[in-house]
Amino acid sequence: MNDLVLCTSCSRHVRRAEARCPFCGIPVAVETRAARPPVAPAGLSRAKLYAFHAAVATGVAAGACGGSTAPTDDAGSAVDARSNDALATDGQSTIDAANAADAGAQDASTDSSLIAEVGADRAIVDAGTDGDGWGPPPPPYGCVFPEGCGDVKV
Amino acid sequence: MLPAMDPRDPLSPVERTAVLRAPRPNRGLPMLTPSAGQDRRPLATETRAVDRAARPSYAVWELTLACDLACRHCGSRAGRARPDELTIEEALDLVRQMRDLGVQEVALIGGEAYLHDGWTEVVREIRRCGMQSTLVTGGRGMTAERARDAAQGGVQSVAVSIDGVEETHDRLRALPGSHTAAVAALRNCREAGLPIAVNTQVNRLSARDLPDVLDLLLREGAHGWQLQLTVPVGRAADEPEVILQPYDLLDLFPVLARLKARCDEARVTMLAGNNVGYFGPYEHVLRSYCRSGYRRSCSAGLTTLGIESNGDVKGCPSLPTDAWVGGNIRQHSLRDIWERSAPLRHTRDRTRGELWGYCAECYYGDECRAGCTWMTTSLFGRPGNNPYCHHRALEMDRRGKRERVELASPAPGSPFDHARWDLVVEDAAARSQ
Repeated sequence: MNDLVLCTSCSRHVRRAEARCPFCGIPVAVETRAARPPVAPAGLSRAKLYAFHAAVATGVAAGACGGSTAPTDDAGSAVDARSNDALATDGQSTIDAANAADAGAQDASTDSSLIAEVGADRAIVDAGTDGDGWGPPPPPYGCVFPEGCGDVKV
Repeated sequence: MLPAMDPRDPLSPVERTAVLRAPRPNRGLPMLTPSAGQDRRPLATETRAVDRAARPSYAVWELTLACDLACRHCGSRAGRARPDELTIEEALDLVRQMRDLGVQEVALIGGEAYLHDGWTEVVREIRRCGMQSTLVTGGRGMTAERARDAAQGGVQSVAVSIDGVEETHDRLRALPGSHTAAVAALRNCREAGLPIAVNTQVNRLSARDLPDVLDLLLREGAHGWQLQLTVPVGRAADEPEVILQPYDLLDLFPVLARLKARCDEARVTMLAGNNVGYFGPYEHVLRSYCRSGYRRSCSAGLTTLGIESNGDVKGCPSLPTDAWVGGNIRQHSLRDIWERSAPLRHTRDRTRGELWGYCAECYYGDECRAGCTWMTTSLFGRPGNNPYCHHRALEMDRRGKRERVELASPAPGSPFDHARWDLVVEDAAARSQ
C-alpha cells in the first residue's frame, strides 16, 4: 500500500513519492512529502484514537491513551514527549472520559506484543486500524462513540 | 473554501411526490428457519500470524431481529425475532468471549435491542467486562422508563435513527408519527442522562433534508451524527427509486463537507460511515480526524465484528448473510471463527487482484480496495468494484460520463439479501436535465 499526502493545491490525496500532483499538475511541496504525523499506539478504542488524532491535529497534545505513543522515526517523537503533560492542562475531560470508559478494557500492551510477534503482518492489520488514522472506519450500522471527543475538535 | 450548503434535490418535484406516495412493496416478513446448524465452510486447521494480529476493537451486535417498526429501507427486513436467537446465557457468554478477544466497544442494534428480554443484562455484562456500550434504536418504543433502564445498565450513548424531516422520515419508516417518536426518544434518553447521537440514512428522499436533520440534532443536544448511504440490501433493494445513483454523489459530497464544518463548529462528532467515500477532494474534510486525512479500506474482519441474533458471526454487521457468515458461536468459539473462518479472513487476505471494473485501474486501488464490501457485494454479488465513489464520479464527469445502477433481478426476501444490479455507463448530459 502507498502512503498518501494531501495536495495543498487541489486537496486530492497523492502518493508521497509523486513529484507533481497527478490531478492538478502542481508540484507537491517537499515539506508536504516529508511530513509524517505521529502513529497512535496499538489497541486503542475508537474514542481514544479519535481523541489522539484530534489532539495532534489541533496541536494540543498527543496522548489520548494516557500513555506514550508508539515509537516513530520521524516528527512524531516531538509530540510524544509532551503528550501527558499537555493533557494534564488541556482537554482533560475529553481524555479522562475516554480513559475512564476504557478502564478495564483490554490492555493495549497485549496487542503490542502480539503485533511485534507477527512483524510484517502489521501492515495488513494497519489497513483497518491505525496505520492511517483512527481505528476502524465506522461500519454503516453502528453508533458514534460516546466520549473522547467533547473537548478536542478538528 | 467550502461550497454553500444548498442541497440539490436528486428528485424532481414530480418524482418526489411519486416516491412519497408510492405504496410499500407487497412483501411479507421473511419466513425464517433456524440457521445455526447450517453447513458452513469448515474452519481452517491453523491460525496464521495475521489472524492473531487482527483483533476486533468494535463489535456491532444485532441482539434480536424483533422490531416495532418495519422500515422500508431496512437491510435485515426486521420485524419478527429469528426462531433461534441466543438465550440470555448464551448472550452473556458471548459478551465474555468478546472481551477475551479484545473487543473494546459493543454497539447493540436490532431489530430493536430493547425488545430482547435480557437486553439490560447484556448491557451490564458488557460494562462489567470493561467494554464500552452503545445502543442504536429507531426510537418508537424508547420510553422514559426504557431510557432510564439503559442509563442504569451502563449504556454510554444512544443513537436514534432520523432520516430526514417528518414527511421523509415517516415515509421511509413506513409509519406516521415515527419521526415524532424518534425525537421523543432523543429527549427521553437525554433526560435519563444518556449522551445522545443521531444516525441518518442518505438516499434520494433524505439527501435534501440533511441540513434540517443537523438543525434538529443541534437543538436536541446530540453529541454525534453518523451518516451512511442507503445500500440496496433487504427492503431497500425493493425500492430502487429511493437509492442514490452514483452520479448523485457529485452534488452530495460538497454538502457533506459543509455539514462537517458546521458539526465541527458546534462540537458535534460527525462520522461518515464506511460507504461514504472515497478519496475525493473532501476526503480530508470528512476524515479530518484521521492521521493523514483519509481512511483506507473496509475493516470487516480486521477490527470490526458483526453478530446476528442467532449467533452467526460476520466481519461486519451489514454484510449479506449468505456469503459472509464465518460460523456460529453454538458450533465454534468466537476466537476460532475470527481467526480461522474464510469469510472473516477475507479482508486480511485481499489483494489488488480482487478489484475489477473501474476500481481495477483506479489510482487509489491499493488503498481503497473498492471501499465498502457491503455496498459492492450488495450490488454485484462480489467485492471489488464500487461505483458509489466520489472520486470515480468526478472522473466519470471529467470524461463526460456518468454511472447508473439498474435493477436486473429482485432480492429474494430474506434478511440482508440483495438484488442483482446492472451498471450502466452513459453520457453525463442527462445530469442537468
